[in-house]
Amino acid sequence: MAPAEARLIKQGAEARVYRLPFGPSFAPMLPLPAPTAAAPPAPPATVIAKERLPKAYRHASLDERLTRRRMVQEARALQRVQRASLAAKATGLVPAPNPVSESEAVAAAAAARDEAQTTAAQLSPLLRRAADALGMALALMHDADVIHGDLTTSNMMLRHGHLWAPTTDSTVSPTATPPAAAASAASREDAAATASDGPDGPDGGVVLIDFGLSWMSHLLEDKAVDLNVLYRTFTSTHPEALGVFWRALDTYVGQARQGPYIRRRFETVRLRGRKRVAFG
Amino acid sequence: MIAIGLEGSANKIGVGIMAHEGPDGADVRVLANVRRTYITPPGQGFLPKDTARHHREQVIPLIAEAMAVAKLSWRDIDCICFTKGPGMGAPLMAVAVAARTLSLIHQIPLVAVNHCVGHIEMGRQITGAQNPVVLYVSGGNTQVIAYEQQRYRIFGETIDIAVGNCLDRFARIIGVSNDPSPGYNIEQLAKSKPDPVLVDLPYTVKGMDISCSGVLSAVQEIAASPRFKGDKRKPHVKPELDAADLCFSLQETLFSMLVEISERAMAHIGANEVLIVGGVGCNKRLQDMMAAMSLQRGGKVFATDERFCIDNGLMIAQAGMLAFREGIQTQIPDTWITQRYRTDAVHVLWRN
Repeated sequence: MAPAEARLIKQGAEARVYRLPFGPSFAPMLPLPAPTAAAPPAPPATVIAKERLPKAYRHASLDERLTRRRMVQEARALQRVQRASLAAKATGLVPAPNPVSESEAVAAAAAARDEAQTTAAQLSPLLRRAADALGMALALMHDADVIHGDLTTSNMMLRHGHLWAPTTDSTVSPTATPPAAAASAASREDAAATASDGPDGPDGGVVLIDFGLSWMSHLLEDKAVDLNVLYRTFTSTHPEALGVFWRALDTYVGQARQGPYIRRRFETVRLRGRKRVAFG
Repeated sequence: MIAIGLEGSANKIGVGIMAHEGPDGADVRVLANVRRTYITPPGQGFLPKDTARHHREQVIPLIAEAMAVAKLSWRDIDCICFTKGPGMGAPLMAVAVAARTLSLIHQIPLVAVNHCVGHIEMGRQITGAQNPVVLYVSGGNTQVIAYEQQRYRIFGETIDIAVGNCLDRFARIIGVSNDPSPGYNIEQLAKSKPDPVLVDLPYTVKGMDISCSGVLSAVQEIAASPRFKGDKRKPHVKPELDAADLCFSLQETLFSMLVEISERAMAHIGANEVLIVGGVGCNKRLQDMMAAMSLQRGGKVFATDERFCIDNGLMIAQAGMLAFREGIQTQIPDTWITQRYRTDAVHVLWRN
């Protein structure tokens, strides 16, 4: 159950996502040191929490098995991508470093959708930046050997400030971090500091979310299949914006370890599919 | 306007006659819908050659029966629709030959129809669902489909075998009867026990795609193990699992995967209607699970019964007539059939 001070951000297919202050409600999970006069309590930081809903349609024991497995997978993947300095929205105890306001994110997404009514040749500057940022984020994730497993456009968010204000230096400025999470946040900051070459920071303004179906793999095949999921999302949902995908792929290939090999494998994966006219 | 539809892409041969009347064809009436199924003995599947022979034997009497039910003569028919694919080659060909022959004898235009689109259009017509996410699940196909820009686009699908194929093959392994269909008998077995055991089976969802071959291998392995067969050295000890447990577990696992990818597709495109079509779609458990999912997210589920869910000629007439009304006809040289014909290969002229 979500604590009282949690605020619902979004109800998705699988879960409810809340924003809540990191505080006493976490005590059962994580004993915080009692505040003393000498060391006043750290100001509350905000965390994003994800509550996986039990599925009424699923047999209870099957549901429990799946939920537990996915929660572990998600936590593991998040930790890993965070270590790789990719800004990923966090579940549970992983703090959100630079919270985006939802209204900003929604506005950005809507704008991107309007902008998306173009072809590869005439991508608007904004879409080009979004595509590059996407390719960059994917490369970072795959270089950490994290396979997302559900790379749809619903599982991506744009950071408003990064894409819309390219000239201002909007660097990551984490809110005060609670003591328990300080270690992981600090290591991420270090990584961010080294990886942050451009004004957009390491992730370039695209945030990947929902790692519930993710797993770890270093195989070209798995990475190529991951890209194919994204490709299929574009062909089915945004066929008019396929150019964004191709541009993102180019950036990805330039950026990711073994990029050209992954691209070659992706080209073969793309031809798979049942009842496709493939030969003869 | 009246269309006759001939379907024979798998082990069913069906003939349906349908009328679209009124100025914009809005008054839709079913005039005939007859079907025969090629049923094989337990433990055997249907082979293309034998299925085609069955269809060749049945096609003429079945067409005559449909015409008699509809009380029509060939002068009344405006177009002859037949299944172009996807499906098994030999049975498709048997039915296409009959369609061509009728067209030449009676001088009636032909319309070649994609089988999957037939299922979708029939489901939409019967249930009145406007723009649903479609779960098409049968012996040969498993796809999650949504309409976008004049195509039925495939959002997710099985990456190996179809769900129906998985059920059929499991039925063969444990010797469940194919009459009236293996899926129906598995459904009955699954609910035959008040408190069945849920066996752990692989649950493979990859984004909006699923994989069923691993589930089949796993349940096959269990069916061959002492847990199901019993221990020969201890004949008095009852095995811990019986057919009902395995059928139940298989259904629960496969259908959960299906409902999950349907829900993902609904969430992704922001739809709140879901339509189930295809032979497996008449399974009540699947319909109930889908309804439970829809209820949780305030959506609505549409399903049809076996007359329209399982392959039939009517759906071919329905999809064919929608195309025919847009001026589409298939000339004789183009009436070849194909085993591979993707749902998204059809240009859906009749929708905006």
